[in-house]
Formats: sequence, structure tokens, C-alpha cells
Amino acid sequence: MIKYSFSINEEIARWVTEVYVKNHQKLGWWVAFTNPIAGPWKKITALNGEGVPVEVYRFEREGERPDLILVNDEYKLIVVVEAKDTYQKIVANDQMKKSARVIEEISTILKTCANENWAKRMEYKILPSFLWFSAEEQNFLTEDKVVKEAFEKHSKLSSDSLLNIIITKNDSGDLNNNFIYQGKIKKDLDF
Amino acid sequence: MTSRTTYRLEFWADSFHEGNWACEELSHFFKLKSLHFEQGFIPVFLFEISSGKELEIIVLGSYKNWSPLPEPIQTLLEWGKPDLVVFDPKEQKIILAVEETAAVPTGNQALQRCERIYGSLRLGIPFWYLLGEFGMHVDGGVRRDSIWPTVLGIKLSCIKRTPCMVLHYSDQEHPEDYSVGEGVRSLYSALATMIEIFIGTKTLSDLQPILREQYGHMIKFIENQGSNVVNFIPNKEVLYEKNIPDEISRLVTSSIPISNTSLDFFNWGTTEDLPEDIRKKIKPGGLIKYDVFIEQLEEIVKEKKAYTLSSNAGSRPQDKNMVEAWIAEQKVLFGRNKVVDAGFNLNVKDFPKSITGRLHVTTAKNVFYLIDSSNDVAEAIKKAFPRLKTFSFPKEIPTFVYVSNSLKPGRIFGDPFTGQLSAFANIFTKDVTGERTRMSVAYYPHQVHTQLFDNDSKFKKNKGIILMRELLDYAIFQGGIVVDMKTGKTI
Repeated sequence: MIKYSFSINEEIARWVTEVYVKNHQKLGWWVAFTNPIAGPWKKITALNGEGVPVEVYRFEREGERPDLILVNDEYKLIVVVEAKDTYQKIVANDQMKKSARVIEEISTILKTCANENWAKRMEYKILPSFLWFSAEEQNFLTEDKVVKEAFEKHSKLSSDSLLNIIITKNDSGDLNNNFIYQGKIKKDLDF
Repeated sequence: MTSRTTYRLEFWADSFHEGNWACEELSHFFKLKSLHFEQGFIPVFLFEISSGKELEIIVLGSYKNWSPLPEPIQTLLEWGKPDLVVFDPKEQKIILAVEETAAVPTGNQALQRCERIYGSLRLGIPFWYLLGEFGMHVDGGVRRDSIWPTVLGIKLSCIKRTPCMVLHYSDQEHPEDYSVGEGVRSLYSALATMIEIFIGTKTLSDLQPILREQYGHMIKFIENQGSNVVNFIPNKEVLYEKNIPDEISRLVTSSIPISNTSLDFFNWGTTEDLPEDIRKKIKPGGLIKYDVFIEQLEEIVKEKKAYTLSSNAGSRPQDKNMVEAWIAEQKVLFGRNKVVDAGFNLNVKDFPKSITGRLHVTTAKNVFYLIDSSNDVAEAIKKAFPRLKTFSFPKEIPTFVYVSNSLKPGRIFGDPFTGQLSAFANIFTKDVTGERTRMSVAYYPHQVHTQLFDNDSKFKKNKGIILMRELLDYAIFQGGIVVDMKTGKTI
């Protein structure tokens, strides 16, 4: 039993999605990159033929990075995630400009990364994604719409493929993921 | 039916990844029985340690998001956030702390985390610092770690009789690669043993072989890298003796006091103690921005009554507008000065232009001076600041003078200056038994002393000031105002 209460920040929100991926391995998603505050995670990895993660790209020291990259070899999908604790922070003008730039830049990198352990994924479809926490389930679609509009304003990528991830707290206090894709709220990241 | 005891630890971490990584590595040492996530995200690992003994580890990432933060952790965090703190919730006791970094170990990077090392050791908390021995610099070149964190680790281990370890990963061909080298394996081997000591299946003596190996690595690193950083490591032949790693590991794990007087190294003595060839080469390093007090210190070096260990302090020129703004802010701070005959004399025209047009704030080309006698420092103060013509220190003793040229108000109370001071004051003012060998003085030519005090002229209590009060005897500020860092008396 955890005896501490917690407040949500970007780190916790992103981690909730990573835990979802760990707990739903049957869906085939894996984490190619995550951007916690520090540590040996500042590189993109891919599973080699033996299922072992190996480095395929290392970010430049001062380079901008997304917060999370998820890959699914069955769906042939890559999700590039920018995370904040609230959607208001995501749509703030400078932030959305930066996020759109980061997503576009990493998309180019992933589409041209010829590393032998990544090459087959160069053709995968890339879904831009934003992740945040919201306390009210009835606001999900409104928040999704606001984020989508802000993204359209700042990115040349199509917002049709935008996948938003909203973290929320249920009545028991558990955090869980909600995936919003093309106007529909999904409990699971399946396609 | 056999009884089963479940022990509990909390792994507090800067991020969930840090704590989770530690637990995953521990699964190489203990059988992982289960892993589940409380409240949808809080990892709870259950390990079987031995027959009938289980360990439950709860990972709590992102310190500041939890309430109530245990008081011992709150206290430790005031000295910087280690990446991992292993906490016994029942006894409310920190078992150890770990700092790990992927940052390139160049310049201030290596030193700025030294306040975390000191912050942990001053509380008697064993500390492991894992960093890359080799890193890729922005210029594309490969850099090697500085020796100072490692020297500090060994010195604090001896003084506090507590493990203070610096471990490296990577090599020249694989810079920044965590999977290369012994660092990661060695760290988790120590962590696993510390956990077994907590549970009672091992004793402190079981930690000795691991620490012996780790101290051996640290000393070897100094042996290999030392000459690239300093021209002189005192009594290095003692340090490099085969038995030293064993002696230090016994010292930090012994429950009964054992002598550490045989560990006679890292004691940078007076100029008379220097090898003749080193003494001959003593010469002033010169100044970038003129300073009346530093000029006097350089004179002492010229007379071969003081020395420096390197003179490659980089100058990072500042924008003229910023320099003017900071001077204006410092002037306002000086308004609270109560030393009646002292004056504020910072002026933008005294800061020389660099080739880019920005202004140099660096005075001395080295961060510290090791001076044979406090009397010479007192004379330098008198010459530099004539109003202090009767100044003297209470006793004559060799003296360490640390210089920080920072101009921005408040900067000296944070990174990298507190890290530098933590490293250098501990290394150069104490011997390995903790006995003081030098008086400790800092010089802040561009900072105003009133920043130390509240409205009642009492010392403020931020981390930087607590650290300065612990590690300095005197600090000299703008205008030549000397503060006794123990009593708060301003002169």
C-alpha cells in the first residue's frame, strides 16, 4: 500500500503510458526512445533480430528530442509523443511551435535512418502525438480538438493522423491512458 | 510451514526510469518474484533474497511530486537531487544514494555534482557516483573525466569513514557508452550487497571486496589521468601502494574505530614540501581582468611562497548590458552594507573587452591558490584594501584561497561554484583524518557580502551559505569586506 499522495507532472504522465506499453505487450508496442530527466536513455534503440534493443540513433547533445517514441512492428506504426502535464501547456504558442518542429525533425530522422536494425521501419507510418493529464473525462474531446487545431496551425504534417494520449485518474485513484484517434476515445492502443 | 519475512525499501528517484533501472539490474542478483504497478504506474518489485526472506521495493519517481516527502530525503535533496536514494521507510533512514550522469565530464560538469557528494557524506550517507570516463565534447573530440571528483571521493571516504565511490563507464573507443567498462556492474554489485546487509543476510565485511575493487579502480584512474590535470600529487607513492584500496575499504566498513593515519596522501603541503623540480617551476599565472587583491596573491606566488596546480581557468566573457545590469544590482545590494569605511567600486570600464566585444569577468587564471602562510594572505589584504591596515588572522597556518569571479547576484550560492568549493575546500584544507591543514578563504571580487545576511544581520540559511559556512573560515567580498564565516562578523 502506497502511503504517499502524488501530484501529476510530465514525468509521471509519460511514465503512465510507458507502463501501459509494458503491461500490454500482446499489442506489440515497444519503447524506442524515452526522455526522462537524465540517464542512459538519450538514444533511439530498436529491437534487433534477436529482440535485443540496440542503438540506432544518438541525439546531438544540445539537440531537441521528443518525449517518447513508440513502435509497433505489426501495425507498422511509429508514435512520436510530446508530453506535458496539461493540454494548456501543450497549446501555448511557443511550445506548440517547438513540439511541431521536434515531431517533424524526428520524423525525418526516422524515415531516413538506414541503420540495419531500423531500416525496415523507414516505411512505417508516423503518428504525431501529444500526451497530457486531464481530470475530467467529459472534456477529452474538447481538449483533443484544441490541441489538434493548434497542431494544424504550426505543422505541415497532417493532423488526421494525430494520436492524442490523455492520462486520467479513476475513482480508485489509479492513473490510466485514453487514446484519441480520429475523434474517437479508445481505452487500448490497437488499430 | 516455513515463516516468510518481507522487508521493504523505497527507491526514490529523479525519474521512474532511474528507480526501475536499478530494480531491473538487481534482478541479476536476486530472483524477481513479481512486478506490479500500484495505481497504474508505481512499480512494486518483489524479490526473493534467500529462503524465507523477501524484499519489496517500491519505486517513487520524481521526488517533488510526492507528499509527504520523508524528512531525511528532504534534507538530502537540499544539497542537490541524487538520481537514486535507497530508503528504509521503517527506520526512516537513507541507506545509500546514487548519482549517475550521461553528461560529458568536462570543465565544470565534473565538479558541479561534487556538492551532492559532499551533501551526502556530511550526513554519513554512502554515495556512489557513476559517470562516463570518456565523453564526446560538442567540438567532436573525446574528453576524459577530471580527477577531482575521484580525489574528493577517496578523501571524504577517509574523513567520514563512509563509502564515497566514483565509478566509470565507457572507454576511449566507446565514449558515453554505459555498457562498456565495469562501472554499471560494479555499482549494482555494491547495491545488492548493501541490500543484503540491510536484510541481515550479509555483513559490512562482505562489502569490503567490492569496495576494495572500486577504490582500486579510483586510484588507478588517478594514476592514469592525474598528470593530465595537475602537475603534482603529493605522496602518490603511498596512494599507489597495493594495500591502500584494502585499507580504505576496511576503514569505511569497520564498526570499530581503526587508524587511518597510514593513509598519508592528498595532502598538498607548503612550497617547501614540493619536489624540487615542481618548486622551480612555480610562477604567477597572470590576470585577465585586473584585481588589486589577486595581484597581491600573484606576488606571493612570484616569491615562491604559494603555488597553483593549473592556470587554465577559462574565461567566459559576458554581454556588456548584462555586466552593467549586474553591477547595478550589486550596487543596490551594497546599500545594506554596515561597514562604514568601505566603498563599492565595481565599474563596467574595469572589465576588459574580449575579441568578440563581450567583457571578461575572469581575474585570476586559476581557481585557487595554495599559500604557505596566512600572514602573507593578511599582508595581501592590507595592501589591497588600505582601510584594513591592522588586519590579521588569529593564527598562522597555510591557507587555501578560492576565487570565484561570478558577477550575477546570487550565482555564488549555486552551481558550479558550490560544487567547486565542495571539492576543493575538502581536498585542500583537510588531511585524510579530517584534521585541518589549511585555513580556508574565498574571494568574491564581484559579489556583495550583504547577500549572506537577513535583515537582522544573521546568516541566511540557503544551501550555498550553509556550505560556505562549513567549508570557509573567511570570505572576502567586493570592496574588501572580510566576513568571518563562523561568527558572521564583518570587517
